[in-house]
Parts: sequence; structure tokens; C-alpha cells
Amino acid sequence: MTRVHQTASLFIVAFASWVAFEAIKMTYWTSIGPGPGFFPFWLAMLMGGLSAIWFVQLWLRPLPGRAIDMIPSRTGCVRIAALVISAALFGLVLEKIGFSVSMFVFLLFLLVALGRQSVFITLTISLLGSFGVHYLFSHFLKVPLPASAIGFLNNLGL
Amino acid sequence: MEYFDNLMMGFSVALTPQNLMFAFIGCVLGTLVGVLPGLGPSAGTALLIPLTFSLPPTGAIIMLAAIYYGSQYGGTITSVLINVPGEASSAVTCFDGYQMAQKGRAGAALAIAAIGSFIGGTIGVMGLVAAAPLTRFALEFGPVEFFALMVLGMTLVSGLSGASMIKSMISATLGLMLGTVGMDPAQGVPRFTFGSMELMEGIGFIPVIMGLFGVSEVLTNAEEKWKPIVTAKMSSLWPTIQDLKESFWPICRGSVIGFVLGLIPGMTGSACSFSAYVTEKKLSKNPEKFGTGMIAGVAGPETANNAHANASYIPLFTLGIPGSATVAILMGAFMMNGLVPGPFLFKEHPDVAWGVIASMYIGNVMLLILNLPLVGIWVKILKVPYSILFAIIMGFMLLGAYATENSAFDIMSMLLFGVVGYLLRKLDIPLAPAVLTLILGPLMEKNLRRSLEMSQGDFSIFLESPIAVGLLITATLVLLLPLLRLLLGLFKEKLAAAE
Repeated sequence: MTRVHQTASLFIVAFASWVAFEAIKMTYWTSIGPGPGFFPFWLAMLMGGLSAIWFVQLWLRPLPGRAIDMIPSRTGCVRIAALVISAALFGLVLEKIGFSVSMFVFLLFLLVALGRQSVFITLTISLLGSFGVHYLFSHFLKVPLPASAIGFLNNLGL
Repeated sequence: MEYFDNLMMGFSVALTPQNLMFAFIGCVLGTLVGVLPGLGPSAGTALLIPLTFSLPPTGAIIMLAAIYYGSQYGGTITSVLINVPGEASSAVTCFDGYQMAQKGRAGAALAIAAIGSFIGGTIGVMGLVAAAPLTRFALEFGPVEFFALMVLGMTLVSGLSGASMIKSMISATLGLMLGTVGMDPAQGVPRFTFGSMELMEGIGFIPVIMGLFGVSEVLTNAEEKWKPIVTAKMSSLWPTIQDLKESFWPICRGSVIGFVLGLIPGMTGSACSFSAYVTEKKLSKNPEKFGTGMIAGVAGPETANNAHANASYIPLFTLGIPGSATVAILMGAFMMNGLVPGPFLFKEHPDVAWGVIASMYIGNVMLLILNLPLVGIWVKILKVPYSILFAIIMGFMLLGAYATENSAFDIMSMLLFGVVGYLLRKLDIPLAPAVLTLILGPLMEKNLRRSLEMSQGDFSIFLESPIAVGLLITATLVLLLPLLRLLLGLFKEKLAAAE
């Protein structure tokens, strides 16, 4: 467990160093006062310093437990992967195939991947969550959601 | 008298049919957020922001505020019926509330919790009205004092979050850093944008919050074993005279504890309810019976967490400093609607400020009337399988992230911060300080730079204002508190060894 936390603290130190390096390339000080690089530079120094203290703290007082305990079970990993990958794919195709179709496929996939429901429940939730929500947002809440850029889907009003 | 008149004006705003409906919807959605395990008030409020996009600013804020205090009511239901707190501040209610349910007294526990929550919430709102004159004092603040105040707010949130101070500060610094992304407000220079047009206006706070709180919460829950929920049997909702008698003083004490602790930015609702529980146990004639179904163990904490939720609006409304992650999200919602919470809100938009305050009174009454008869419905919702629940929550978050700016980039941003939030949770790094500083960061930088421009780069300007000096000394003491505790512990150990 200590090793994982120490690695994280070193990663944060590296990240803070990169921010400081980028900040210093901006104007640090101008004739009237601090420039755009001033605030991020000192924030990066603060973050780097805090992470270094965290590293030393862990070295002086190691944490109990094993690193393997932090890793989710196989089922957990599958669920997390299903959630993240399907959501990322949704983001990628949303503006191409439109909200209704992409949300329908997304919900259908997740409901099947996360747990088996009856076909009726799966289809009802997917339809209401996609076409129903599209109708609600565009007609009642006046929030526009993307229509499909593909001709035949667009012609169908999707 | 002036404040009474203003409050009456607030009621005239809050009592319009439209705003009553928004408060009602907010109360129902808030209770739902509180009821659903795995969806806390911060994630819930962020998740529901898209619903308010088309609403007028006052209606939007009324609804979001109602979601927050409504979630405090809802959290109790799961604590009592299934021994799983719907949100963190109701965790302590499990000790005695669930035991009461096991003895067939779930109805009495829920009724006393609702009554206590109503009284605590109302006292919190009354305090908010009483605190309004403080805004006159805050109007005297210049950039120096505001910067010092924000430093204090940041240290309080980091120091009182309950996690390690170092980790909280890392989280706060991360939020501040994210706030620097985009066009520099003074010189118009892009910072950390990597040539991306989407990042020119900065990282959208809604996708970040939804990611850090919502997505990470779903991912954390996804790795756990999902068991079917079994609820305790419901009994009559009416508490006995004896229950009411035994709850009277715990409710009074809970109101005071919750209200006072709610004034301190960074003090969490769970710390308040735990303090109330410990107080009741200490003052009880039968402390050994706590944990076996004592009604005082439900009344005190439940009152305290609602008094805290309402009192935590006081630093926001008077000083513009959000005291918790959920209030910070609400502050972001204010900003999205072109309103800046703080002393100027009462001056420039009294209808919004007083309308929201008045709606809180009404919302508390609504929750009391609504919640008891609706317990049965909440219980049914609890039985919805996690797989369905998380698919719907995730779908709604994707919709919310997109609808904010009509940008698929925000969906990717939300997912990225969701994964970051999940990893931070694994490392026990608290997320609340990051959210608070993400919202406060740009204001903090603006006030720091203005102060230094006024003094032509001389940092001693921060020592010229007595208010700023006082605030900075308090911030330093908060930062040094863990060190002082450590030294005190070592001193005690040495004394014990010497004896």
C-alpha cells in the first residue's frame, strides 16, 4: 500500500514540476504587478512541496495493508471498463448519430452489461431514457440535443 | 424592520406558483438523491443542474437549494430502513435508527427524524436571516481582505475535511490549478490550453464536478458486491408522547450544534451529526443503551445535520465563501446564472437572495408534510437494482455534461475527471477541497493580483489591513493545528513516561 501511495506522490511531484515549467514560460511579472505565470507557478511549487512531504511521511510511517487490496475484483473491473468505455464511445459518436440513437444503444448496452434484466424492462428504460428524454428536453425544457448527422436517421427526426 | 420587510418581499417571490413548484420539485428530487445509496448530495446536485438550464435564475437556485436540504431528509430513510446511509451525514443515524426499525419502530424513528430535521432546518434558515446584516460589514472588504478571506476558507475546508491535512491541501491546490486553465483574465494570454479552443474559456466546472463526484462515485460503487436491498418493516408513523418527550432536548441541542458548526466553512455534515450523537450519549442517564434503539440517538444527529445544511448557506450569502462541496456547486450555479453570491447579492439582487431564503422556510414545511406519507414510495425506489440505477445515473450525467455547453468535449472532460476522482478516492485524497478551490480559484487569483497591483508588487499590503491580518493569522493557526496536536501528543507521551 505504501509503495502505491509513494508512487502517486512522485507522480504528483512530476506533474507539479511540469506545471511550474510551463508557468515559468509565461510572463511572471509585469510593470504593474504579477503576470499570467505568477499564480500557477507558486501553486505548482506548493503542490510539489506538499507531495514531497507526503512522500516523506509515508517513508517515516508506512501504511498497513497490501497494494493488491486496492485493485477491484474481476467483476468490478469488468463493470468499470463497461461504464468508462461505453461512456467514451457515447461521447465520440453523439454528434454523428444523434442523441436518441446513441443514448438508446448506450443504455441498452449498460443494462445488459451491468446486470441481466427482463427484455421488457431493458427496452422500456432504454427507450424512455433516450427518445423520451430527447422529447422532454427539446419540447419542455427547451434544451437542444444533437440530431443525427447521418441523412436517413436525420430524415427520421432522430 | 428593514430585514423583516425584505423577508416579506422574499416570501412574495417564493410563494409564486412557479417558484413553489420549483421548490417542490427540488424537495422531491433532493429526497430521492438522499434515498439512493451511492449518490451523495454533491453528485446529486451537480447531476440535476441541467434540469435548471431553462429556468429563471431565482427558480433555478430555489430548486437546487431544495435538492441540497431535501437530500438531508432522504438520507435518513435508508439509514433507518436498510442500515445504509443515503449520504454521509446520516451515517450516525444507523446506530439507533436501524435498531429501532428492527424492533418494529421504524415509523417513529422516521417521524422524529423528520420533525427534528424540520426544526433544525428552520432554525438554520432563521440564522441566515439574522446574519443578513453581516453583509454590510463584508461590503467594506477590498481585494486584500477578500484574498485573505479566501485563503482562510481554503485552509478551513482543508483542515476540517477529516482527512490528512497534506492530502486535503494537495486536493485544494489541484482545484486552484484547474481554475487557472484558459484565458488569463488580466492579459488575455492563454494558459495550459494546448491550442484547444474548448479550453480557452477554462475547464467547465459542471463536467469537472460531475466527474469528480458523480462518475467517480458510480465507479467506486461498481467495484463493490451488489446485494439485493432488504428493508425493515414499516410501523405506524406516529411517535408516542414518550418519544416526543425524549426527543425534545436532543432536538434543541442538535439545532444549536448544527447551526454553530454550519457557520464554519469546511465543517462537514457528518462531523455535526456525530458531535450531536456524542453529546446525547454523554448527557444521557443511560449511555450504555445507545446503539440499541434510543430515540435521542436519532433526534439529535438528524436535527444537527439539517441545521448544518441550512446554516452552511450563511458564509456563502454573507461572504461569498462556500462552506462545503455542495454549497460550492450551488455557488457555481449562481455564477452560471450571472449572479455572484456574497454581500453584493443582497444589494444588487435582493429578490433572488431573499426569495431563496424564504423558499427554504417553505421547503422545510414541504419536506415535513411530504416525507412521512411518501416513505412507502421511497422504500419501493430503494428496491430498484443497482444495475438499472447506475445505468440511468450514468446516462443522465452524460446528458448533463453535454447539455451544459452543447459540447462532446465536456463529456470527455467529465470522464477524465471521473477517473481522476476514482483514483483520488483510492488514495484517500478528499475531493471537496478541489471543488471549492476550482470555483474560488479565479476569484482568489483576481484579488491577489489586484492587491499586488495596488501596492506595486509590495506583499506588505496584506499586513496593512487589520481584517486581513486577523484572517491570515487564523488561517495559519488552522494550518498549524495538526502540528500543534502532534507536539501535544508527544509532550503527553513524555510526561506519561516520566511518571
